Formats: sequence, structure tokens, C-alpha cells
Amino acid sequence: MLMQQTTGPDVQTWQGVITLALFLVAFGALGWRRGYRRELAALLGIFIGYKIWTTPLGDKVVSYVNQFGFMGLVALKAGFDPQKMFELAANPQGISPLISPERKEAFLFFAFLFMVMLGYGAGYLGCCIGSLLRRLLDSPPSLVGFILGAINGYLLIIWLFPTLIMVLPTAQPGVVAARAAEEPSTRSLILEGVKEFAGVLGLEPGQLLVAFVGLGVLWVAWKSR
Amino acid sequence: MGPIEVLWGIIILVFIMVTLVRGYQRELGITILLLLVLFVELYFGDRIESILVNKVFKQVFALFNVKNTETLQNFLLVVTYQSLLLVVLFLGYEGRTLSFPGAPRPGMEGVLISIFIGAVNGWLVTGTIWYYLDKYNYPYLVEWGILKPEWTKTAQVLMKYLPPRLFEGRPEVLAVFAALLIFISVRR
Repeated sequence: MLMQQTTGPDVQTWQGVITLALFLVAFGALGWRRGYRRELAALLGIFIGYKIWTTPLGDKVVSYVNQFGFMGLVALKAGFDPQKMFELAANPQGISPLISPERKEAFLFFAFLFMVMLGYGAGYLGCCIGSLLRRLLDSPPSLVGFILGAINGYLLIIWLFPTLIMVLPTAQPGVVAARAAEEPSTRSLILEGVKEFAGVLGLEPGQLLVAFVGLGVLWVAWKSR
Repeated sequence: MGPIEVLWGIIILVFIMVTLVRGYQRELGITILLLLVLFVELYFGDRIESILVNKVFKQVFALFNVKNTETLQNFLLVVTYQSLLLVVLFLGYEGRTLSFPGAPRPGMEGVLISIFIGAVNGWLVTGTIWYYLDKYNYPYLVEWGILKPEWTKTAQVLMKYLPPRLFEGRPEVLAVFAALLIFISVRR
């Protein structure tokens, strides 16, 4: 697809095959090292994430998040005063939903990415549930892990790459990644992406940065106990 | 005087160096104190300011027949806010305060964490000082020609992200965050 306008179909085919094979080997090697149980957890994460992203399950998730978000916003706006909370809940004008319809698609995409990260990171969490999961998910390197890793890689490639190719300037023939990174459209894409991600969470980009700093401080504090 | 953001950056650098020397576990205790001070200043600031302006300053200025009260009043308000911050900061560094007991991370990781925590503390302190100076129009600093209120683009952007400005609508967030840190510090 990338080289369609500049080279013949044969070249395109073998380039695609080699690229795909390299990706599968890389993910397979990762699976070998992580063990088959961790790869199963990752597969589960990818599968649930995809279901949330593409099926009506996503609408339900959005609806739940909006309900909880509404409760949180009412409590914050009322300053945690029960009387005011009841009044605001009865007359919710001025409280916009946390995930508005135009942000829904972006939220579901991030939910998919989050589930993928959760699936891959399940065996590495540091809290008490994490140590339990670690024991449960520990398994020695094996060929099954390699195969499951390659399957996970294949699923991520076929589900994520079409999305990336739609927007990345690298999809243009002849534009290499280094040059594409200098393109104004790439920069605006990155900035808009951050803005969109912050918007999904109901924050400004600056507030999102502060939220990340806060999370960083919490992580350091947790590690310094 | 050079651009104000340079001074701001130098003070943050000092905080980073202090954190590198003292270790980030101790500095996390200072972070908790700073968050609590900022919460108190934002949450009770308007009420205290109203009492000071309407009940205390008015009578004192009338008693001593002070003219041009606006600058002096702004100066006293800045001193009130800053002194609370500076006293707590002094006590935090001088006395025995909250510190996290764990061993520091070895090597480069520990250094990077110290830089991060030092920068956060520096941002909290200098950001708060800058915010209140700006809110009260840099009393006497502009009048005496120490500071010219002509900001570069960088300074204008930085001023949007001063901690009190970010949290003035929701100071409870600071208290919740400080409570979380205290919870983590006492939990074994």
C-alpha cells in the first residue's frame, strides 16, 4: 500500500511479507521471553480492548463513565455539600458529559490502547494484586509463548496499522520517517492528539501534563516507602 | 534585571541541587507541606484577604493617616501569603518533618528521580511566589524600577501554568493529593 504509486506489485508484495515477518518474529521473541501465560493475558487484553473499541460494549462503557463522571462533577461543583449535590443533580444544566458524542470515538480508541497496555503489563504490576498476578502469570520461555506472542503481534498490526496509516504523513510515498517528523502536519497531529487525549479526560493539555507529574510524584512516593 | 523566567529557572535549579544533595525521600516530605500550604492559601485566601483589607488595614491606615494605600496594601498581602509559605518551607528544611523511609534508588535512576522531585518542589515554591506577586501587581518592585512588567512570550506561557493558577478553581485536588502522599508515607 505504501509503495503502490512508485513500485511494481511484486516488489510491494515481498516488502510487505518481509515487514510482516519481521514484526511477527519480534513479537514472537517477546512472547518467548515473557512466557505463554503473560501472552495469554495480553491476548485477553487485546481482545477485550477490541470489543470495547468496535462493538456496542463501548457505548455501555461510555455511558458508565459518563454516569460516574456526572456524579464526580456534581460532587465537585457542590463542594461535597449533600444538599447542594441533590439540587445540582435534579437540575444538571451547565454540567456537560465527561465524554461528549464527538469525543466518543477517541475515548474508545484510548480504551483499546489502555486494555492492550493492561494486558501486556498485567504481570508487572507492583502492588499486592500485582504480586499475585506475577505468581500466576510466571511461566518459562517456550515455543507456545513464541506462537502466542506472534498472534498478539499480528492482531495489533492488523487493527492498529490501518488507523495509523490513515493519518500519518509517512503514508505518503517517498516520505521517510525522519522527514515526516519535521512536517508541520506531523507536529499538528501530535499536538492535536495530546489535546484530544486531554479532552477525553475533560482536561486542558497543561492540566494533563500536571496530572502526569502528579502520577510521577505518587510513583516515586510509592517506591520510597 | 533579565527576563523573570531566567530567575525562575535559576531558583528551580537551586531546588534541584538541594534535592540531589539531601535525597528525594526527604524532599517528598517538603512536597506534602507545600501542597498543604497552597491548599490553605487558595481555599482560605479570599476570606483572610477580605478580613485583612476591610477590618485590619483600613483601620491601621486611617490611624496612621497613610496615603497611597493601594501599593502598601498589596505589599502587605504579598508578605502575608509569602511569609506563610516561607515559614513552612523553613520549618520543613530545618526541623524533622515527614520523610519517606525507603532506600534511594541507586545510580542514574536515583539522580533522575531527585531532579524530577526537585523540579516539582521548585515549581511549587517559585510558582506560588510568582503568582502572588503577579496578582498584586509586583508592589514596590515596579514602582522602584527593580522590575519592568514587560514579559517575553515564554514568561507569558509559564504564567499560565503557575500552580495556584492551575488549582485556583479546585484547591481540594491539592488536599486530596497531599492526603494520598501522607497515606503512602505511613503505609508499610
